[in-house]
Amino acid sequence: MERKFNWPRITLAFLIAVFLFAFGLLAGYVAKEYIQGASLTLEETARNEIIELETIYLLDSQFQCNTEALDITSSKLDNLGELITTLEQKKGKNDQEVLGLKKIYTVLETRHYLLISQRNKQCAQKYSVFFYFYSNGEKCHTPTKEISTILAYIRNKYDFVRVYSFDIDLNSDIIDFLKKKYGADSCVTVVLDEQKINFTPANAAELEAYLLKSRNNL
Amino acid sequence: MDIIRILIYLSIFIGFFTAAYYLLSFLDRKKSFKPIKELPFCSIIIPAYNEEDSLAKTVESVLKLNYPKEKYEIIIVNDGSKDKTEEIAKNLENKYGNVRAFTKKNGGKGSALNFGIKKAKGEIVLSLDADSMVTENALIYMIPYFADPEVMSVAPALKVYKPRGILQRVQAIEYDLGIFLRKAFSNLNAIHVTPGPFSAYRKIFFEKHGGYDESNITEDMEIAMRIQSLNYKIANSPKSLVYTISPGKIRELTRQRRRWYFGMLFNFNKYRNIFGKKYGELGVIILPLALFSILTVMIITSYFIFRGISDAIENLSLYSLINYDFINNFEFKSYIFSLSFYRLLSETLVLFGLFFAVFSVLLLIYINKKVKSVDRPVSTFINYIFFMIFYSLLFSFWWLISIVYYFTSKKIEW
Repeated sequence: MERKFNWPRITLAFLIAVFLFAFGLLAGYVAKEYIQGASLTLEETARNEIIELETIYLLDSQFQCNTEALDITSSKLDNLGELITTLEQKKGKNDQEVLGLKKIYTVLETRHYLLISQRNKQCAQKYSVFFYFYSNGEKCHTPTKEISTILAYIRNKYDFVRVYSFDIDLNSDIIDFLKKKYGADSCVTVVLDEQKINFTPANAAELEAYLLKSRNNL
Repeated sequence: MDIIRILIYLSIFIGFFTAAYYLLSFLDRKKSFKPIKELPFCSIIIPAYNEEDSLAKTVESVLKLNYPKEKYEIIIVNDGSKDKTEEIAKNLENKYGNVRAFTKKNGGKGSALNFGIKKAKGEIVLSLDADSMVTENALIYMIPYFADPEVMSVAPALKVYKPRGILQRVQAIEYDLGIFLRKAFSNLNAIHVTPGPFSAYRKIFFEKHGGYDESNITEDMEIAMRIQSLNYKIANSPKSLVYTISPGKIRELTRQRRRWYFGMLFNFNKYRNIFGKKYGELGVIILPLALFSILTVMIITSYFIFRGISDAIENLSLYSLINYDFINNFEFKSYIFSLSFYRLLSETLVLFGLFFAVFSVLLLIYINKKVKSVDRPVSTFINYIFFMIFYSLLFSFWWLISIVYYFTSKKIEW
């Protein structure tokens, strides 16, 4: 049997493949643009969240010990944190837009913390506040993940716990001030109610025991 | 762009090319046949090992063939069965004039087929697995292809017998895809597997070039590759419908696939001389495409499996820090969920992959409609989705274990 190449068929198949590939790629790109355009961009959403948060902070003073406004700001702050994490994963750690939003986020966290401290003084309900200083550096990957997991768990388990996270590599005067105040210069540093914890918790139980003991002493 | 991303794009492009290439070949005009003056005498060899449940049904389906009774014989070769296969075979021999039954020491399917070929009186020899049933016109449709003296073998169209359950239904889709591919390959002179159930061969081929390779676990592929390497033709008779019982359990199916894929690697290596310009499109496009697809599917799946496992290990070690207290740790936030969804859909590659998946499902539906038989409705949409997702994963898994077996020289039993 003589074996021949059917070049017209091979060429046609190749052209169809090129067309389908280009069409698929284009369709994918157009759909992506449409999805992104249909909803607000992440940056816009983040900015809107920030404006709303600032307004609620102003309103909060009128509510005094009512937790309604505080709950809204807490939830919004968490959402904003997730939004910035998403942006960071999408655009990279060094993106200027992301860095700018992180700075604003730091300011909002600090304001929220001030609000909480004020309530702790004025109202019956007492919040326990963690400051969590972390680094996104390669060398700090494991300890950062470990402490993040432990703190997220404790925050979810206890309603009276608030956690404020600060990226020590961020160029922010607030963070620099807090870093200096609590001596936060390693991969992870945890501060509970303005007291630096001088040990690295091996698990959540260890930190929980420390937290509950510290509340009993209040 | 990372290597995996490039590989995914490349495999999608190759996927489009393969689909277009096979579709164009499938749609090629049919060749006209020279009329056959006289129907040849055919010997249908049924190798049977522990087939007491299905043997009689298989033989009875052959006896209903729309082919003159005096023009064919059925040779049952009991390959040292431990059940009642021998007794059933003898009863069938006594009952029907054109049935002959033999018993030999167990030696495997290849040895049973070779035994049957030696006993065969026919000019055309057909193999038939004892768990398969032929349709009335299966043989009569095959014969005209032998009018071409270069055709050494004719492959039938294989379908799953009464598919029940999701596993058999998705196999039915796969078998339909096989019918499509075999027809496309036939137009390209590139069939490289002649299925065990009801493939026909000229007896002269066995006399000239030896019988089945008895040590080969996929003897049907070996014989087809040998026919190709000797530059003969293998035709396909898409109207010759043969039904086979497919595995209904994942374990049986995995064992079957491990044997098939291991055999494929073995035979690709044995007949590596076929790869190259000398063998036309078979050597330059079809076989390299098959190897490329296997390789890319393996790499991409292995990458995601490896990543999944390493993520799972990391998460498990992190969960140990919270004493695996998932209840207190869990907090569903619709906002985070919608963010993840948004992030996924704002990736061009994900949307492109979805486009390719939709294209593949539509192609499968088209193929199924083209090759559907009268007794079975077209598969439901959910089966196609299941085929696309889970079967693709299983496919990679089967290839992975077959490759491990191949390179660690583990022995695979029939």
